[in-house]
Amino acid sequence: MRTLRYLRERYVRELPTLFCPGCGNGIILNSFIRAIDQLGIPQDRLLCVSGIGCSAWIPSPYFKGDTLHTTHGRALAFATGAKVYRQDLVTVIFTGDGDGAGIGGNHLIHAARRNIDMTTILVNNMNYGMTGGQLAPTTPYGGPTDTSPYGNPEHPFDLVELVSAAGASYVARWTTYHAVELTRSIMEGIQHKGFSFIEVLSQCPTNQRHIFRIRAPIEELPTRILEMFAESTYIRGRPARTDYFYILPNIPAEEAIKEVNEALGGLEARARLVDHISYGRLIRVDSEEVDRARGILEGLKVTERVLGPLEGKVELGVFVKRERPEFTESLMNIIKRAQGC
Amino acid sequence: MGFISSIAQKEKRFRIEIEEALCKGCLICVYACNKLGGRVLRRSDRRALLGGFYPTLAGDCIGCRWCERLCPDLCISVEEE
Amino acid sequence: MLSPGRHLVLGNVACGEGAIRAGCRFFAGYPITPANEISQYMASELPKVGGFFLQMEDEIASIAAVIGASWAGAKAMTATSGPGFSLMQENIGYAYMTETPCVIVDVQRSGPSTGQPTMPSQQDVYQARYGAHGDYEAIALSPWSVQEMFDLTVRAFNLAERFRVPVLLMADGAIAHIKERLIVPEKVEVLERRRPEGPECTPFGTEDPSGVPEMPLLGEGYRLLITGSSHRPTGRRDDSPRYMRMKVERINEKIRRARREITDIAAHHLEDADLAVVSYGASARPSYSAVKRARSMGIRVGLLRLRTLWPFPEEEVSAISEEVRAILVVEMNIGKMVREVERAARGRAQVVSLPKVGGVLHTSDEILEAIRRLRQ
Repeated sequence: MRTLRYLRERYVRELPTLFCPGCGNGIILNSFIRAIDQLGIPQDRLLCVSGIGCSAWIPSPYFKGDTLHTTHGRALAFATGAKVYRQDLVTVIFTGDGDGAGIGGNHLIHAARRNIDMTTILVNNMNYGMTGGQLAPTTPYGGPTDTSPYGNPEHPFDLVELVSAAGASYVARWTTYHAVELTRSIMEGIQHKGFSFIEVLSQCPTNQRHIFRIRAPIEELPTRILEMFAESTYIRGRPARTDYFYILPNIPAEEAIKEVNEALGGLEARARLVDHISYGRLIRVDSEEVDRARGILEGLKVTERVLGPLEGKVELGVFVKRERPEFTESLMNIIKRAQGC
Repeated sequence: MGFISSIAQKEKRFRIEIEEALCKGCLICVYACNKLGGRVLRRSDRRALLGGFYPTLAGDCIGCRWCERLCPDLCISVEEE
Repeated sequence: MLSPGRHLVLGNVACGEGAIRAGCRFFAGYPITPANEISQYMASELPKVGGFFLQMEDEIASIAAVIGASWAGAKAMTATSGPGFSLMQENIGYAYMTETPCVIVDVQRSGPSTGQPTMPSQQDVYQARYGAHGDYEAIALSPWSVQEMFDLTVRAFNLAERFRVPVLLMADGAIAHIKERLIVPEKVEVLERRRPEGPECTPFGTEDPSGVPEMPLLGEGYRLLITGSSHRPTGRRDDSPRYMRMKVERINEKIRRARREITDIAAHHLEDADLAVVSYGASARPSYSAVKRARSMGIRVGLLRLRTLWPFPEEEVSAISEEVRAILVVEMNIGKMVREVERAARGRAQVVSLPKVGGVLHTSDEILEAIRRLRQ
C-alpha cells in the first residue's frame, strides 16, 4: 500500500499548497493522485486542464505533469482542442462550481453532449471561493453570501441532472468526506470511454460558515463541514437506516436538546446536535423504539418539525454509466470516410 | 478484514510521520482517526508552523490510513515498522 | 484541395486552401456571416488530409480549442467576423500571454453590433490591435484579392510559427465573397515553430536574440506549466513585478524588433509622386483605379498599399510623408488607420481621411474627386 509520502513525492510538484487550512481541494488532489497511481497511468500521458479559481490550482501547479491553466470557465473548450489533436493523452479537467457551471456552463453541457473522452472533476464548494465567497449557481436557496447578504434569491443547479440530461455517459457525485469512493470514481471515470463527470461537494471553511450558518471557531470548521457532509448525504443503492429522525427546533438547538433529553427520559434513545446541509443545526434522535420516540417529541413545545432520515439530504453515487458514441472516435471515422471517397 | 490477514495485521506495527513544514494544523486527520479509524490521534498542544495544531499519536496505530485519505496537505504518512 | 495551377474561386475558399497548404490540420469555428465558406471548406477538406474540423458552441470555445490544439502540436485556425471577433478577445489575449501560435481570420462586416452582416467593412482594425486587455504587439495582415486571401493566410501561419504569436488576417466581406483567379503554387514555403532539442526547456523565456522561446508540446514529458497568469520563464506562476515586466516586455519586443521583417507593403506610382493615397484591403482596389485615372490626367499621385496593418509600417509612411504634400487615407470605416498615418507623418504632409460607412466600398470616382481636392 503506497504511503502518502510516496504519492506526494512522485505526483505533487510542490507543497505546501496555497489552499486554506482544511480546504477540500487538498483532499481532491489526494484522491486524484491515488487514482492515477492505482491505474498505473504514466504521468507523461496525462493532461490536466483547469480554469480559474481555487479548484484550478489542484493540477496547476500541484500536479507533476502537463497542466494547462486556462481562462475562467473555458477549460473544457481548451481541453477539447488538445484532446482531439492528441487523443492518446488521458485528459482530466479540474473546474469549480462557478468556473464550470457558472461562466463555463455552456461549454460543460456541450462537452457532455459531444461525449468527448475526458474526465471532469467539478469541485462544488457552493461559492466563488478565490474571490471571497460570492453567490454561485450552486449556492443553496436563501444562503447568505457576500453577494446575497439578504439570502440567495436563486435556486441552485442539480449538476448531476444537468450534465446527465446534456448527455454525459458517466456521472457521479461524491463529497470530500467520501475520499475512498471518490478515488474509485475518478478511476472509473478515467477508464470510461466518453465524457465522465464527477461532482465533489467540498468544504470551504473560509466561506461556508456563512452559507451554512455554522457558528464555530475557524479551526473547527473543516471537520464540522466534513461531518455535515457525512450526516447530510446518502449513497444510492445502499440500504438506508430508519432507526432515527431529526427535530427542527423553534429555539436554538443547543437549548432545545435539554428538553428533548428530558422528554426521552425512560426510552432507549440518544439525542445529539448535528449540522444538516438543508436545515442547519438540528437534533438527531437515534432509538430502538423510533416510533415511540417520534410520538413523544412531535408534540414537544420546542419541536417545530420532525424530519425523516433522508429529508433534504443529498444523494451520492454513480448516477449514469452508459455507452454512447465517443466524439474523437467519430472524428476518426469522418477522416476514414473523407479519405475513402 | 479476513481472519488470516487480521492476525497478520496484528504483527505489523505502524508509526505516523508528519511533514511538519507542510501541515496547516487543520486536524482533519484527528477527526478521521477518531470517527473511522483506531481513535489514537489527538490534537497536540504544539502550534503548527502554518497555523492550527499538530496531531499526535496517543496509542497504537492500526494502519487503516484514514488520516492519509483525508489529509488535504498530504503531510501525514503511515509508515510500517 | 485544389491542384497547383489556375483556379476561379471564392475568397473564403482561397483562405481555407492557403491554410491547409500552410500545414493547418485543426480548425474550430462557429457559424457567422460572412465567414461561413471558410468553415464549410475546412469541414470538407481537412478530414481528407487527416485534419480535424470542429464546430464549437460559440466563438469563445472556438479560439480556446484552437489554442489547446496548438499546444498539442497542431497548426490551428479559426475564422469569424466582428461579433465573434469581439467574443474571442479574452482568449486571444491568452494566446499572446502563453505565446501560442495560431491564426484568427476576421472577415470584417459592417457594424457596430449586428450591423450589416453581408456587407464589408474595415471597422475592426483597432480591435485587431487593442481588442484584448493588457499590453501586447499584434500582427495583422490585410488581403486585397482572392490570391492574397491564399498568400496572406500562408504568411499568417508562418509568422505565427516564427514568432509564437496569434496572427490576425483582417479580411472583409467583399474580398471574402468575390470569385477571382487564384494561382495555387507547386510548393508553398512552410515554417515550423522552434522545438526544444533536449529534455530541458524554458517554454516562456529565452536568451535567443529573437526573443522567441522554443516551444515544447503537451505529451512529451516536459510536464508543462502553461498559464495565463503572470509566470516565470519556466511557466511557474509568479506575480512579482520583476517577472511580469520581463514577460510583457519580451512578448512586445519580439514583434517590434522584427518590424521590418514583418512589414509588407506595395507601392504603386510613388517614385515621382507629390500626392499619395494610403489604403489597404478592399478599399485599395478603387484607390488603385483612381490613382491610375489621376495619373492619366497628369496628376502625380501614387498608392501605398498596406498588406500589414500591425505592426504599423511607420517608417515607410514617414518616408513618404517627406516626399509628398498630402496623403489621402482611404478606408471602409469612420477613420481609423488615418490616425496612425498622421502620427507617422508628424505634420510633414497634410493627411486627409476619406472614410466610408454604410457597408459599401468607395467608388473610384469618389477617390479621384478626393485626390483632386487634395491638389488645391
